[in-house]
Amino acid sequence: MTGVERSASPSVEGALGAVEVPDSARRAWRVEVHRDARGRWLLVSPVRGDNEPFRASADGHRPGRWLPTDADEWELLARLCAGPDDERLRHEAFRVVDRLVRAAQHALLMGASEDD
Amino acid sequence: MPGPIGAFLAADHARLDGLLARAEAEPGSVAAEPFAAFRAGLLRHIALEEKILFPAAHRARGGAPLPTFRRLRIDHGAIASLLVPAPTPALIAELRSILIPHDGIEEADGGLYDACDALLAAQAEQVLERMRAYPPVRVAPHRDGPRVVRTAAEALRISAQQLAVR
Repeated sequence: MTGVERSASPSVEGALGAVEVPDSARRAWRVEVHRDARGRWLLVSPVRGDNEPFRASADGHRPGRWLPTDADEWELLARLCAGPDDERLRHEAFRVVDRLVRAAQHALLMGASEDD
Repeated sequence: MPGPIGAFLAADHARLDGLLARAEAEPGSVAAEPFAAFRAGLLRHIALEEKILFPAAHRARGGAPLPTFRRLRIDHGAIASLLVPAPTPALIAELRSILIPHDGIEEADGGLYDACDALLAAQAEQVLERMRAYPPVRVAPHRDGPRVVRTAAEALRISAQQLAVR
């Protein structure tokens, strides 16, 4: 995991920071941690390749469109953005991001199968 | 489950959210390169909706516009006018005050994208192909003259007036 771009504090509004986290397929994802009028949310984008970016809300925002995450996962990623580097946080972040990526790809596949 | 048109356009919203966040990565300043990509991407996104999505949905409804079209068109005009001046953190806050509720209308359960996916289900792949193939929009340089609009309220007021005249 690399790429802590900015000191983050979970109490601040706006984009709190970003980290790169791998998934179980060894793809790197850039995870941005946000808090704004939409509540607490994550933006997950592929570092390379043409996978679609997606968003996840810890506050139930647009439940049909954004993936659900929860306050603990959001806080974990916010803490990781704020650093310092922590092996346990990295491991937990990997599990969170891997789950979110799987859920996003499942949603895309389900949407595609509905079209058939 | 969101349909393919909504999923495509919501993913574009996510990409644009990311670019805008990168433009604001340093508090108190706006990074030129990500903002330029955000500006060009947002103008192209508006063009996809105005030139492909709205006309297709309009035709699918036998010429009757969806109830949200007018509001969204006013927002599009206002957003475009706020992209004219050189960006500042204050200007981005004004933009966001339009973009967040605007995206909400589009992405909500039963919102514009769901309505368009339902209306255009039989031609979704053709609509998506046209959107994917749509070229980058030509982006004019920033202008900062005295007549340039810098607040969301003013931009929305002028855009509503212009739409009423058309």
